Formats: sequence, structure tokens, C-alpha cells
Amino acid sequence: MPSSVIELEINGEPQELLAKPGTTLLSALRDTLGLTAAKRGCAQGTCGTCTCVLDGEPVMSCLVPVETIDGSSVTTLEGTTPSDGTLSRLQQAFLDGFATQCGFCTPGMIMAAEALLAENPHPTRDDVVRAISGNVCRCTGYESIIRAILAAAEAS
Amino acid sequence: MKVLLPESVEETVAAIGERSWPLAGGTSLMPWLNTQHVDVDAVVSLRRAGLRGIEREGDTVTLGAATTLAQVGRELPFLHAAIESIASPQIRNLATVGGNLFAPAPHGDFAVCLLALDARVTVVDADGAREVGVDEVKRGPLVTSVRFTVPERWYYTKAMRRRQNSAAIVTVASDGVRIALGGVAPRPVRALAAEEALARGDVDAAAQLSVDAADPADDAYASAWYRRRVLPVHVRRALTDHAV
Repeated sequence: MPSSVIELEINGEPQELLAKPGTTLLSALRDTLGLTAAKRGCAQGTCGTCTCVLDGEPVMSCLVPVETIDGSSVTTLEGTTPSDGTLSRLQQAFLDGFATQCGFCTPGMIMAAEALLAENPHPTRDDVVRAISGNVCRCTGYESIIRAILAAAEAS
Repeated sequence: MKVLLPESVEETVAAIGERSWPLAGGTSLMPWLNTQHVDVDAVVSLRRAGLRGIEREGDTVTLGAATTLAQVGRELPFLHAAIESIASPQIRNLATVGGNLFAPAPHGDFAVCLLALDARVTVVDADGAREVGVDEVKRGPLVTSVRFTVPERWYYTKAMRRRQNSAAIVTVASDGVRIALGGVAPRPVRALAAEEALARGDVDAAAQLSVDAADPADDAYASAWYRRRVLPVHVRRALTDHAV
């Protein structure tokens, strides 16, 4: 079975890529396009560190064969980062609030939070807890992450 | 392994077989394909098969098999709490109505709801389409939709190790007449003896008799002993505290 040409809108830019059969969205992003913010953690959809926004909804990119989403739009952490060298409001809030330690969960946490704030700009603490319930962090104990997301919401 | 993307139910049915498996949201199959050696020729994606969407006609709701759980939770308020009790937002945005019918215990909470709703499941194979009950769904034919009537009353509770994103210790769903249980048997089950007691208005007896339907297993979430022990408590709470 030959590779297929997949067209995606990645972080607002049209992209074409060649995918071997069965390639996941996560592998296409990391290994083909060099977008390495999304991390490969469990490969089972349970850790959340591969979280990307697919057609407006956060998903586990390790569970999506890229051939099945030809024509879709995908946002990764790279796409939320301003190109002028500054940080996004969530990145800044994570930095200010020491909400990242080893950093492995951070891209997924921020993408889950981006999806939450896009839908619900003024979330309650409980909304935040629910939004990141698919994202595992083994360093922080979550409290600093929850506070950072609430701070980012308040700052905007 | 190939990834096929048929664009109709007919093409999908023709494509699936022993060595070519249907792929809906991928939340059960992809973990397996990502981490094990699986000897399969193809997966058949349902994304373009026209199986997504929710139709309402009066009190009757028809859910396309590839409708995501997130969409069900958004559009059917009485099921919102049940959907929110399942996995995480990222999984609910992928996982589908049809896929949940095949999720092994202690997963498959939406199938517990569908059993309590006495949903009719449309399945299609080479012989054509037919309707079956939730408990008659088998691997092989393609599930294309499920249909049920919105109940006048609805009760749901799920006991978990954590408040979010955990599999069931015990799941209870009821329309006040039928009682369906999850987490306490290999597949969702109706608690028939409990339903008879409930029909007499005896909630305490219904709670006790629910154990008759249980055949629980030990797993990482709870022991079989614990599930059996707490089942009556959660049935009683579901039927008294959690009226929607």
C-alpha cells in the first residue's frame, strides 16, 4: 500500500504531507513536519500529552490515523505561540505560576486549556479541572496548573 | 496495514471482515494498534460513511453510530451527566456511540444508558439491515444507528475511584422502570429482579435484588467483592438521590 498525500491546515497554514498507511496525526506532526511540541507519552489516549485541537475540538492525536482527517484543520502548541518571541497568555501564566516542572505534560495541558478558554472564556475552577482531566502531570500535583489556567483566563 | 475510507454504509459493510476491522473513534482500537503487534490487513474508518448525526422526531431520538459522545452530551441534556462521567474531553471528542457498545467492562457506560433506555440498534451485514437489542449486539455486522425514546424520568450514577476520568466501579442507569448496571458483569446487564421490586415501589428491595444480576470481576479499579458489596448502595442512591 503506497503512502498517501494528506492535506491539512496546520496552525493556519495549508500543509501537504506524505503519510505511510496507519500513520497517526501525532507521528505526522512530530516525525514528518517537525512539530515536536505534542509529545508521545502513553500512545493509548490516557496521558493527554499529545493533545492537539482538531477542527476546533481537543483530541488525543495519538489515536487519530492522519489519513482519516484529510482536509481538516489542526492546531498545535506551536500555533498558539506568538511569532514575535513573546509567549501566549497561557504560556506566560504557566511560567509565572511555576506550573511546569519537567515540562513533558505542558504542551498537552496548554492545548486542553486553549480549547477550554476558546469555548468558555471565564471558567470556574471545576470547569478547569474537568478540562484537564485527560492530562496527566506527575510533577506538580495539578494545583499550580489549575491556578495558571484561571490566571490566564482572568488576564484576558 | 491499510486505512480504508469508504463513503457509504454499503461500501463499509463490503470492506469489513475478519482481517479488516471497523475503526470509529479509535479510542479502543488505536491503543492496541499503537502498542501491540496486530496481524490485521486493514482498518475501515467510519468517518466518511455518513453515520454521524442526531435526529429527533417527537420523543424519538436516533443517533448515528459514528456520532461522538461529546455531541450526544451537548445535544441531549438528560444524558449530559452520563457522558461527562466517561473518560476525558479529548476521548469524548473521538469516542462514538457505536464504539461504546463494544467497550469491555469496566468501560461502556453509555451502553448501560442505552440498555436502560431499551434502545434499538440497527445493524447491517451482507444480508441487509435489521434491528436488535443492546444486549444482542455482536462483532461482525456494522452498527449504523441506535434509536430510543426520551424517558420521562432518568436516573444515573457512576461510582469511580476519582471524580473525573476513571472507569466504573459500579454504573447504574434507570428510567424508573428498567434498571441497567455497568462495571459489575462482562457486559452491561439488566437487573430484572430489581425491576420487579421497583415496579412495586420497593426501592430497598430493588437495591438488594440488583446483586442477582451481578457477575463482577477483579480489576485495577475494584475487587469483585467490593463491587458486589457496594452495588445495592449505588442502586438505592441512583433511584432516590439522582433524579433528573
